[in-house]
Amino acid sequence: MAETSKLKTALGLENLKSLGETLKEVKELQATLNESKEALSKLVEGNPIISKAIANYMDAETLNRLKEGDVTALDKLREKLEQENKTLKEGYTALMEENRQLKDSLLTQTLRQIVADEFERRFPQGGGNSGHRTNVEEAIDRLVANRIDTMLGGGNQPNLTAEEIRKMVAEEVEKGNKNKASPTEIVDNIVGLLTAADQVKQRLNIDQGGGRYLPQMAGGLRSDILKILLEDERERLRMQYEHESQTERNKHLGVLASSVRDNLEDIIAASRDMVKEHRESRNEKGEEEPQSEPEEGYQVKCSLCGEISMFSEKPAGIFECPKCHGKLRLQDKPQKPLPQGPQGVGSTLEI
Amino acid sequence: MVTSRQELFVQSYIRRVAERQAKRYISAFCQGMPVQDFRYAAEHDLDVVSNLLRRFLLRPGEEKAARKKVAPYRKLVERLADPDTVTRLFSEVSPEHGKVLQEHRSWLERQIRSGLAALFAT
Repeated sequence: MAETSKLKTALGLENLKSLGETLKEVKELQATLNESKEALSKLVEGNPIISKAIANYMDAETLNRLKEGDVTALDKLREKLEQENKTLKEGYTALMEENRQLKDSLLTQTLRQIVADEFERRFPQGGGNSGHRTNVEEAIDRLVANRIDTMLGGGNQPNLTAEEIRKMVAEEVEKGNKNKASPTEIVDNIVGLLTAADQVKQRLNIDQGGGRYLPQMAGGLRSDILKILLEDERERLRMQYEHESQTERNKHLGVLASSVRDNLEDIIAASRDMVKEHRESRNEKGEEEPQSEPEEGYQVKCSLCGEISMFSEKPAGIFECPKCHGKLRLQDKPQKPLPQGPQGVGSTLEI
Repeated sequence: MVTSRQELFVQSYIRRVAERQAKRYISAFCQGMPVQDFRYAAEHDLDVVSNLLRRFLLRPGEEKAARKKVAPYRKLVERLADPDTVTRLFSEVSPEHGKVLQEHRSWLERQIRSGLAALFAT
């Protein structure tokens, strides 16, 4: 028991000792905290920026809390503001447009006024001002009409010449052939081209009888164009026919020449055979070969060189031999009986 | 009728070409046909041209077609078939044959006449 109490006492003492140490540590820690608190309070008092930051920190936190709580309200506000901005912009654009139109209108009015004043200055009208505005407008209209008339090729400008029309027709026909258009379409295009100016003038009500093609357009122009096309076509056909006939002719000539060339040997052989057959037939009949040539006319035999010369008429007087150039007087000798040629009787003069 | 220089040139050119071709044929003919035979034909007034035409060009049944082919060259043939031209061409190719033709001009004329009549049915 005594040992136990001793042990307990020892343990109690130990515990008390440690407790005393712990208390000592706590006191030291408390003292340190107090010191730091004092230092912090002193620092805060000595430095207002930090104190402000701390205060701000506190405000931001409050604001954040507020923001997180009301995000939807802010979005709605932004949308509303954007819409208002857009409406304002549209209004501004409309105003600008209106302003521009007003400016144009003002400019036109000013120009019109200037033209009217100028016209009035150049062509002063007698009488009151009752018809003044109408006259000016009519004059301006007339000026514009004349200008357009000139631009469209009417007025004092000459009409299209036949050559120009032919050129246009040729171009249009070529274009139509490329596009494989029908002749009717080609003619329609040509008529449209030639009458374009007249049609514009007619629509603008400025055609004062000066139309070049419209008055007789329905029949006249169309038939003229068709005539031109037909003439061209006829010319083309004529040239084609000539070319074909010439080609055919050349072909015939070639065929003819080649047939002669191919048959030349046969022709020669046939000629020889003909002579041979004739000879044989004569020999069979027992006929004699002719001594002299059966010629029409007169033969003169030169007694110097033996050359025989032929004359269609009976020669007389002095004869000059063409070979030896000897001159001889012709004398009629008693005629020898001449062989009967197939073509008639020949006469021979001998010297 | 006034003939232009160009037309004259073309006519002359065609004539020269035709003569050149004709001379080739005449040359071949003269080489194959002896002068004696040629002279014999002339002396005995053989109708050589008509016979040859009938045998080679104007065969029975083919006359019409042949005459149609020849018809465009009538002027050319007639010009070439002039007796003087034929004689000249023969003389240039073979003087002996040419001489035969000179001596028997009437036979040559008759041959040409009958040949043209047969060819162009005149």
